Amino acid sequence: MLRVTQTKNTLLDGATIAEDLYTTPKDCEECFDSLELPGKNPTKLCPRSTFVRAGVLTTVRGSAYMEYGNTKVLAIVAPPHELMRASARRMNMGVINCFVNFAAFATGELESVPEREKHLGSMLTKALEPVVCRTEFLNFQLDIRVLILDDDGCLLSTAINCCGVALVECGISTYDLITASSACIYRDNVFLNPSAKEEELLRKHRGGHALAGSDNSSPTAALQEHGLITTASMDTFEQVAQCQQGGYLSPATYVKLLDYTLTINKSLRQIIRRVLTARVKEQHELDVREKAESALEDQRLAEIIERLKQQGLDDFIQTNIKEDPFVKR
Amino acid sequence: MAYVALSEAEKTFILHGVEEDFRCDGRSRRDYRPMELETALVSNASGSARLRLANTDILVGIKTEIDVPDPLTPEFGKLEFFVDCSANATPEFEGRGGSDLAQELVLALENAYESPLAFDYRTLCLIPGQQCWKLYIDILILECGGNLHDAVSLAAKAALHNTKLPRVTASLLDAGVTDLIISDNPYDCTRLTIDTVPLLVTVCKIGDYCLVDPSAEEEVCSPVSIVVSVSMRNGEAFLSGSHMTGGGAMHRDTMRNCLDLGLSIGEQLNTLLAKMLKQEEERVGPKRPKTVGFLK
Amino acid sequence: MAGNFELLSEQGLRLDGRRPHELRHIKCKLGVFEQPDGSAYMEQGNTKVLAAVYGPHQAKGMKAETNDVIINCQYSQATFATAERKNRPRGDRKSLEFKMYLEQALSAAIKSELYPRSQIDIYVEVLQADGANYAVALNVATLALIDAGICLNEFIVACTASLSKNSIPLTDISHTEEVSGGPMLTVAALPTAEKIAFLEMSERFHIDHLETVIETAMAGCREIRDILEAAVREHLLHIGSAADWARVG
Repeated sequence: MLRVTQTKNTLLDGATIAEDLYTTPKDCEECFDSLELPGKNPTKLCPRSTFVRAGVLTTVRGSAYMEYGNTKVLAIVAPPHELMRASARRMNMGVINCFVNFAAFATGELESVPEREKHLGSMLTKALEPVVCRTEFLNFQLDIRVLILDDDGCLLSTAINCCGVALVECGISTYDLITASSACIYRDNVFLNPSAKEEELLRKHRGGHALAGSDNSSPTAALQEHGLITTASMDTFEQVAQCQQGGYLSPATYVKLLDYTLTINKSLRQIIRRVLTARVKEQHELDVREKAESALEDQRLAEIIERLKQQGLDDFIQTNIKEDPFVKR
Repeated sequence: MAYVALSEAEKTFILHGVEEDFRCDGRSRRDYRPMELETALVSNASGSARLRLANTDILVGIKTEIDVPDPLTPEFGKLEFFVDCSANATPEFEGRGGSDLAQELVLALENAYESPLAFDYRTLCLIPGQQCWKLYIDILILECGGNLHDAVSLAAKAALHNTKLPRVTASLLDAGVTDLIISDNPYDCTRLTIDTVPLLVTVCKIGDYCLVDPSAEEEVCSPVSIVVSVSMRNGEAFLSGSHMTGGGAMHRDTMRNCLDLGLSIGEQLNTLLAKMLKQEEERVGPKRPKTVGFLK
Repeated sequence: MAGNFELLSEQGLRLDGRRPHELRHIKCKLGVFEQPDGSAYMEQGNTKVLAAVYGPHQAKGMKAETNDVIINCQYSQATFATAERKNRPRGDRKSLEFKMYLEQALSAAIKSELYPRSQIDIYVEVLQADGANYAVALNVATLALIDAGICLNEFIVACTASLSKNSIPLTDISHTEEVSGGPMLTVAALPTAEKIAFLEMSERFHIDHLETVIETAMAGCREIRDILEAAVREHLLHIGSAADWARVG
């Protein structure tokens, strides 16, 4: 699923100033006006169009690729290996380390990438700790690496979903399937699975418009809440693995957004179950085919050995020598 | 965090105590340990505070600097948090040992203070689009006795209250570049309003119950805890940030209970802190207490 | 800051109003924290320093082979300690230098042969730096070691001294005097035994004055030692009064 954007060829058109060099608050206003506003109570609580594939790489045992709308994420899980830093040792559990990297072409705002990578890495670790059976790899560490190929919002939730699939693919014991999604509220509009533009408005503008309404200190004036919530849940027993919230929300809005994300998680769980079952079937067929091929190979070898026993060694070699076509007689 | 080793029997003892609403030190699930707060300790800093929450000892110093504001938010000043885990707390923090914990605290604080509704960044603005105040909030952790998030946010809020920004008058030079004149008089200063500044509250789940202000031993017993950042505005409590820690998961209903507990405790903490800080301000003249600091 | 102003005025007063031989006001307390084995806090004028001692405990790693104790120090300065904010509290060259000097001085004071294959950690945190940082750090480390119950040969005390333009030696240098460009001599000594464990000097003055300046610093050390001893006795009285061994005399 490709998104095509038109680029200006600056070499041919002569010296022109790049468009997105400097965004002003006016640009943010125009951007907001151009968005399709879903209103306060969205009716359709469903995830974006999703594509998940487990087992995409041959070099690592556990890998998964996920496309969530336009966001493309690749996750890699290697089997646990010995703990490098002795100081990180825990008494009865293994250690999980998550590393997130943005591809160079993933996003347009390159300045904030190192900070976002660190932040996403720590949040991802916190989200995956509850789901992995850490007691099974005591004194070992599990490294999970995530590569973000295209940033169109919902990075944390997509990364969590992708890592969940990669963990199962790698064969690491988990307590349940983990799914995650985000919801945000901005200027009284609830955006589910916010895109990069919506997240940028939320983050960069930092609710600056909200203060205009809060100057009149009358308590009845409605407060302009703004905020983003990302929830990761394991739905068999309705456990919330991680709930990350930023912004400024009233408790009622918080619970409302939480419930939206939990509902979306349930639908995502169906998708991931389907994908994983299909993957198991596929792997089973591959195994069967491989077994058949190796049985065939064994049979051929057995035949050759039989012929050898009958003919004796010299005759066997004579029958197998062919004339060299390049030798001139 | 300084790791406390507990046996199974000790953990069971703590669990039973929590169930009966009578913890190891006699508190109920909603009680905080005794706190001591003192401001204006460090004379080099524009504002400082020291908070002692039973065994946890935090010292916060705030320094100010003039900086250029972010172009997308020209009327906002800047805040930067820095947490240093001193090796005084535990030998594991020697060198760079405490950097993971420090990073976690910084992220939690930055998340809580991000919204301008939580901290009004416009008060830090000097000339929109050109000059603004940047506050460096430096937090020094001297001793770890559990519940670091709460202690750190309380100390930071008290230090912000104590911060005195020198009064600035500007004079316009030619070429449109403004020159700022900062007053030298230490009493000629502006203060920050901290009514809506958030406080972090850690709500721990032990067994089937939620409690606040876990001690170091209780933190080891709990599989999961949720840290909520509570900000008061017009008498109502709002959430300006939350995340879960501890490596476990909780049911959605437990989460709602924890949230409610966190909000009510956060509300009480905020009002109490505001009252104490106001009391300290009003003790001027002969009633003014001497700064005691660590000598007590 | 150019050293244009005199360290000593015509009336014989220094920049903060002290006489040349006067120390700054010292306040100290032992046993500030519960978690470390020993801790102490000291204020000398505006310089405020905390110290914590952990040990003796098993030495970590390869260093466990020796028959003497391993002394591990860390010198750290809070980012708000100085007038200009510092980005890193420790790990820079100055802190590593002071760490080495602390280890050197303390190894002269601690009875190393009593703690074979053990390690003693001493962590110093400067909360406010207003001159003589190393000296105050060493003094507070001594107090913390005493609070931890580690056997010392003697109190190890440090003091700074300088020389004004008219060759009058000054004791206990503050920050403004330090940056004004005058020479600064730091002496860490065992006062009763009259032994010098560590000596450091910056800037320069004529060698004829060396003896007087060292003697001034040693006199300062002796004075500080008396103050520290009084503080230790008071601390013992305070904690011993419950167990009735306060009548130490």
